[in-house]
This record gives sequence, C-alpha cells and structure tokens, in this order.
Amino acid sequence: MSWWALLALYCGAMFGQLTLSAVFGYQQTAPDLLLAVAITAGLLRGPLPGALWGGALGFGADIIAGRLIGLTAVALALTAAIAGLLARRVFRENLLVLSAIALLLGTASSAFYGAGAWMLGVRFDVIRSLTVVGVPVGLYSALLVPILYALAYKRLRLRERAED
Amino acid sequence: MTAWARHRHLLTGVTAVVILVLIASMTAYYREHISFAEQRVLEILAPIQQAAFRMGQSLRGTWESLAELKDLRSENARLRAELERLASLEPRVAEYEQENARLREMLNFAAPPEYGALASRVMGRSLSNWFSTVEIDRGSAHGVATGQTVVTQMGLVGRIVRVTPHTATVLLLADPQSGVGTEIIRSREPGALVGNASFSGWCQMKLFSRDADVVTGDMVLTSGLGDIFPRGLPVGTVARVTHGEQGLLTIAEVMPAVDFRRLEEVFVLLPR
Repeated sequence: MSWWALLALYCGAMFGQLTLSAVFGYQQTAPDLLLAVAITAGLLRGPLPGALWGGALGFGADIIAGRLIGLTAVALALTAAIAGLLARRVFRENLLVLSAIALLLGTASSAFYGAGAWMLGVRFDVIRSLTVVGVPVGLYSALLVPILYALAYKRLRLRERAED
Repeated sequence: MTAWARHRHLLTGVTAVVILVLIASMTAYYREHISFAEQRVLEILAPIQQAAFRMGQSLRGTWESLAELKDLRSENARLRAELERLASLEPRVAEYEQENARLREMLNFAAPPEYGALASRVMGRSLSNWFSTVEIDRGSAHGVATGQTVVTQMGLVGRIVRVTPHTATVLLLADPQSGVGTEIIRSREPGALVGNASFSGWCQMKLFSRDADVVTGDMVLTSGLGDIFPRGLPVGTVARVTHGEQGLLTIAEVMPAVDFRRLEEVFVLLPR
C-alpha cells in the first residue's frame, strides 16, 4: 500500500473517531474506531504492522486529548500486536472467531489503559471502568472489526489477483 | 547474527514503550503551557474537529428523529388539537411578543462583577472515553488562559486546562481530575467537589465533618476557596448523602446544574 493510501486511511480513522465521539456525546461510551482499525491491522498483517498502526493511531488520539500522552499508543500497540499473534493460531475466515477476538482484545485494551493510568497516578474506579468503558468498547469492537476485516481482506485479495 | 540483529524489533519496541510511558508520566496531569508542536497540531486540527463535531451532531439528530417515528401518529393528533386551541389565543400573541422583546433586552447573562464573559461555542468533545473535556473555539488570541472558569447561564461547567491561539480545552466538572471548593447554600457547610471517577456523570462533594448538615435536594455553590473559581456559582443539587470510609467524611453525590449532554455555547469568565 502506498504512503498516500496509508496516510488517507490514518486521517480517515481519526476523522471517523472525532465524528463518533460527537454522535455519542457526553456520558455515553463511544465506539473506539481507532482500536478497531488497530486490531484489524494486527489480524491482517501480523503483530509488528499492527503494533505500528496501534501506536500511531493511539499517539494521535493522545495528542488531541493532551493528557497521558503515549498511554493510548502503548495500549493500542500492545492490543494490535496480540491480535497479530492470535491471528496465526485461529481460523480467521470465520467472522464469529474475529468477533470474539475483538471483544476480548477490546476489553483488554481498556484494562491496559486503566492499569497504566493507575500506575501513573490517575485512579479510575476499577469496576465501573470495566462496566462503563471496557465492556461496551469490547462489544463495539466485536461489531466493527469483522466489518473492517472483511472490507480490507476483500480489497487485498482483489489487489493480489490484479498483480497475478 | 548478533543478538541485536535477531531481536532488533523486540528491542526497538521495548525502547518505544519506555519512551512513551515516560512521556505519559510527564503528561499525566494538564500542564500550564503546552509545547509549540502540540499547539500547532491542535490549531491545524481545530477546523477538522469542528467539522467532525457538526457532522456527529447532525447524525445524532437524524438518529433521534428516526427513533421517534413510532410516536409520530399520536403526536400528530395531539398537535392538531393543540393547534386549534392556540388559534383561539391569537389576539393575545402580539401582546406577548412585545413583552418578550422587552424582556430579552433586559436579560443579559450576569457574570460576577470582577469578570467579563466571553461567549464561545463547543466544537468538539474528548476522543477518549476516560476523560470529560470539550473543546471551544476561543483561545489565547481572545484573552483565554489556563485556569479560567467556564460557565453557562445554568451554572459551572469547568475550567480551562489547555489553550492554543484559537482553541481551548475545558475540563468538565465530572472529570476525575476536576476539583472545586464548594458549599451548601442552606447550611454553609464547606466541602470539596471532585469529579466522579466512576463515570456516573455526577460529582462527589466531600464534606469534612461526619455530621455535616446536608440533605438530598440541597443546592451547592462554589465557595471561592483556593481562588480558582469565583464564589457563588451554581454547581448542582445534592442527590444522595452517604458516609465515606471509616465514617469520617460525609459524601454528597451532586447532580450538576448544567446538562453537559446539551452543551453548545459556554461563557469563559475573563478577569477584568
């Protein structure tokens, strides 16, 4: 994929997340599109490209947030890398399997972030963090990742056939 | 092949993680001044953020309209009956319109005397589900600075924590890092209001006495202690009273006076 396409995908993901945050508004947990893109990248391309995508998207989100800069990058990179490692061991053609992985990793990503924030002195209520942020983000990821994966996979296959 | 060559990706990754965690620890709390690079990035992103916010709000409006379709028929019948009733009141409408115009002229948001009020629009909300902040379209070029108070006509919204030349970030009351000196209007009991780290949207007011005189329904105002927020700004209403660990503190859960879900315009209080 060309650098321009990568940049367009990155900007599209950030814009999409900004829009989603506004749709869901205050007091509602918004889907984490950046997390879904990072997990998809990990599943499709492996742990290292996934970690790079997760790190880059997370860092962008942190710069906009202005607080704990770098923590989202670490959480997303770690999550995407684990997705990449899992992808080698599971049957990725089954969307239910992808959905289950996304649910698990989506929740785990929030746990990574909460734990990291705790260690850096920003204390969130553990139980409510999981129930109000972690599990909903996991559920949203379980819906988004199969869709993104199917779209990206189809595109990749078309490109490979064209090159053949 | 050397160990470095074999494990270069892992070592690079670990180094990157260490650097990122260091940066995160340095930025765990809002800083008075942000770096020039951050300012530039935020300035460039501001119109994009605004566009995304408007699009998001528009989508939300569409979704809410679709959700209401099922109630439209009964609503239609009710409105027809209402319309007939209102038509009979038409002669009095002109009189009310004139009175309304006069009252609107008189109605100005009354900032505390030592402050001016700078009107500002909300142009974005926090990307993160963990924090409660909004972005507004006024910055240092308009006199906005970190630490300034943000209000609506309903009450206290929060304070400015980050500023660029044309934008600013407002830390809302309910954010875990928010803290306000407050008092109960009725009993003058002092306390400290903190953002609820439990994501409930409510705040917690910690009163320093086990027998503090506070009941459900009490109104809460800023106390002015700490010289961060002006005194006398409405904060919210007490919704529940409990006792803290070991029963040493009284904790009042406070429902904010401002409806943060409907936040579109705010005022920044600028010192005169």
